[in-house]
Amino acid sequence: MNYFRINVTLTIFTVLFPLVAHAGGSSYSRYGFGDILRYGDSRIYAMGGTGIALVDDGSINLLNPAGMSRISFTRFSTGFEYNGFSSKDSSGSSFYSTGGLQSLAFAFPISRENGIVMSIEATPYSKVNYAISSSNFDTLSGSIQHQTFYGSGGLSYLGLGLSGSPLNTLHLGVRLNYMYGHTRQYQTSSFDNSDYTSTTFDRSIYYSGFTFTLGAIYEGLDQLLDLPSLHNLSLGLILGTASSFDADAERIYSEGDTTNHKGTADIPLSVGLGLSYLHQNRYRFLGDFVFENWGNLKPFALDPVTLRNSYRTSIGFEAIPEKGADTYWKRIFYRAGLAYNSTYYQINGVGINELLMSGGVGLPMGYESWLNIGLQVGLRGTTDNNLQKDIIVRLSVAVSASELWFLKFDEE
Amino acid sequence: MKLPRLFLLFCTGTMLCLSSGCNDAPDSVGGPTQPKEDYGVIRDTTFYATGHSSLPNRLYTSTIDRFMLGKYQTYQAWACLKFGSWPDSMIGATITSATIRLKSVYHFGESMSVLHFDAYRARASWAGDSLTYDSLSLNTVGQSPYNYYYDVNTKHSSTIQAGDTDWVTIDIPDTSMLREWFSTNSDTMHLNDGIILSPNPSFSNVIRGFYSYYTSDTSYQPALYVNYDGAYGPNTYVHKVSSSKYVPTIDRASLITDNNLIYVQNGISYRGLISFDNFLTTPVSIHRAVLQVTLNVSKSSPQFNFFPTPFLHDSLFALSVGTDSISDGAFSALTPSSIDSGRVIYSFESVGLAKRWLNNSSARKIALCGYFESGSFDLFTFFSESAFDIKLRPRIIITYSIKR
Repeated sequence: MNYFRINVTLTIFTVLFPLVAHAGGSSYSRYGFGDILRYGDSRIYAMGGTGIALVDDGSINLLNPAGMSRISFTRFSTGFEYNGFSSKDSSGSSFYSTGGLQSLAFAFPISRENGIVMSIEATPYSKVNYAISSSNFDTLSGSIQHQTFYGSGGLSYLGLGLSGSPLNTLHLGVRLNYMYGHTRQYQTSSFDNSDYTSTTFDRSIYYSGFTFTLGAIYEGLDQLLDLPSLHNLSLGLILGTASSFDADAERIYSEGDTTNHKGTADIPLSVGLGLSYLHQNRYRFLGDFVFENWGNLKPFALDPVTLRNSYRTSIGFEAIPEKGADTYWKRIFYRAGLAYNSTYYQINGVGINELLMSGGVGLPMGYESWLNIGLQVGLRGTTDNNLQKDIIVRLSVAVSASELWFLKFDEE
Repeated sequence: MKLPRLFLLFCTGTMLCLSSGCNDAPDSVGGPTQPKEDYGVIRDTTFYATGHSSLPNRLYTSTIDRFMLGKYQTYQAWACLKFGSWPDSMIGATITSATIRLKSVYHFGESMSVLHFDAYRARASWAGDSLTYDSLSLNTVGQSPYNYYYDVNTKHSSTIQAGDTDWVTIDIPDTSMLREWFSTNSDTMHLNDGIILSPNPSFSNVIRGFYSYYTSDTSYQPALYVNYDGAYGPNTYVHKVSSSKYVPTIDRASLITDNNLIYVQNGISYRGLISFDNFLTTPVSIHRAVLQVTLNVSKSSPQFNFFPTPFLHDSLFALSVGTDSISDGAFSALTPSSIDSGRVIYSFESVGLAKRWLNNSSARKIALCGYFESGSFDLFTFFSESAFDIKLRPRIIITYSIKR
């Protein structure tokens, strides 16, 4: 065992985990389940979240379970993400930041010949995080009413995945997702007029339910179409099943009243298509398109909001080091990506879109193990129609390591 | 592999720096993007009373700063007075005479009227506040050896005519009673249960208040002046350690002359009880609640025309009550009167009560009682839910917001 590596890992997470308590983010996350995170893995993160067609040994593909079928050693990955939101609207600007765990995933190869790999993961699915204050004149009390709105929470899922390769060129995968979590809105209200008492209102909606993610990656397009130039081109497909979750809303008033309502919240069908092309075993180019059918749902009977269909397109690039590179720098992975996300937010009749650029490196930490650092910078929204524009900065530090990382080899 | 370690340190440091600049305080950015429903709509709704009653309530008079004695109309107040905790030096003293000195503080009725009363030797314990007028006037008690509260054979009639700040003196001619009082400190035979003062209903048209042992000015405490023969000749011992209470009554029929009104009678006491069957049914955030009752001036204390101001204390308490209509101690609000469009109203800030009503912690009733319920005979009479003019009816005005 290499205790130094274990200690380093533990140190990182011991230091970083307490930071997850910081509050604040984009007020758009008030709607729906909040910001949908779409975390695919630390490697995919740096490529604009592109990786539906990625099947490889060096990472656990959380976007497409079929992408795990080349994993040859037990692998785990986990990471920490810093989020910074610089938001601007007609009233001014603000900056909020937060940090949190990205994911914790393990993959266990069962049959390398058949590409059978099992995985288990815990991954955030969405995030609600905002803090807003408002002061308005209230005619009834004849004074200024001050209100604050805090949002927090989000959904996560526990995933149990399985991949297999019935053909050398065809990989299939399925993942059962148990989705759970709650979103919370906490409000305070006070008046300049002391005759009027301050109040609080605390609403939480607890969700739980199951979805399936089905995936396929096909690497035989060159043979199928008889086009040798398509060698190393793979096609990926994912299908996220629609589901209806149990949703329990709890409302707590400062009067001590607590009310509970049971309902449902729907998750839409999600369809994704991806391409991956490996050029000269050195350069990988990827492209994804994901569509989610939010607009036709009534997902939030307990918290009615208007959502729209969302789609996300992204491209990614990865420069893979030469095999047998002799220096450390030559063994580093370099990644970049670009994503355009037409989010499911539709506020004041205006759809909220997001443009992200990303980049990152994969730093070797031992055999088949990397410290992946990714940076995403993006723009979201508009200040038109009394809305807000966010500048998003996300930084991810994650470890993706195989079981070999913990083994100590004699230096030659 | 030293570079990765440096990178780890760099990344850790970067994360710490970035996160240390986090801003948690909310600001206005993003406000317009929030759903309008989140802001809530502030409304006010007036709920009018749906029922009322006027109920007698136990009066606590044993620990207040005064006691009452006298009769006016159908009001009566009997007084109980006891001087206890004798000093050892006085036990067995040869007593020649004694007087009680009392300091006047209040009157209800005709100020110049002579107060006729009878004094009796008490023969049963009357400590606490459980003694009622009916029990005392019937003079039966299940305590041996006497089985009565006071000995009718010890009757001593007297009169008092005094102003509200005068000192008055009551003679105690029965020196044998005083000797028994002073004979022991271990009183198992009811030797010293003090005296009962009963107004003579035929002659009195005033109820007078006197300071008790609990007055803040100790010079006003009741004092027993005992003249005795000491070792060096006649001497006077002044004893102030005392207890007192008064037991009032009124003829209910003469008080509640109109069932459409709500009566709050201090000094007896009667409390007004108002019911609100209609109230908010869904959870809301209550910002303010004001309970308002309107005084019927012509049926209240001003009808007596005794005071330069209508009331000794022109303030009322609103109290939450349980399902038994008795105050549950969870909420109280005190308010003086105010004038609104020529009406005398009492407005109670009652947000705490409204919250209790909303979550069913208290019955949706309110009890009204006088600020100094045991210290005066102020009478407040209010219009009830049956008042023809809706503006006169008891009501509670709730300002609230609805949350989604």
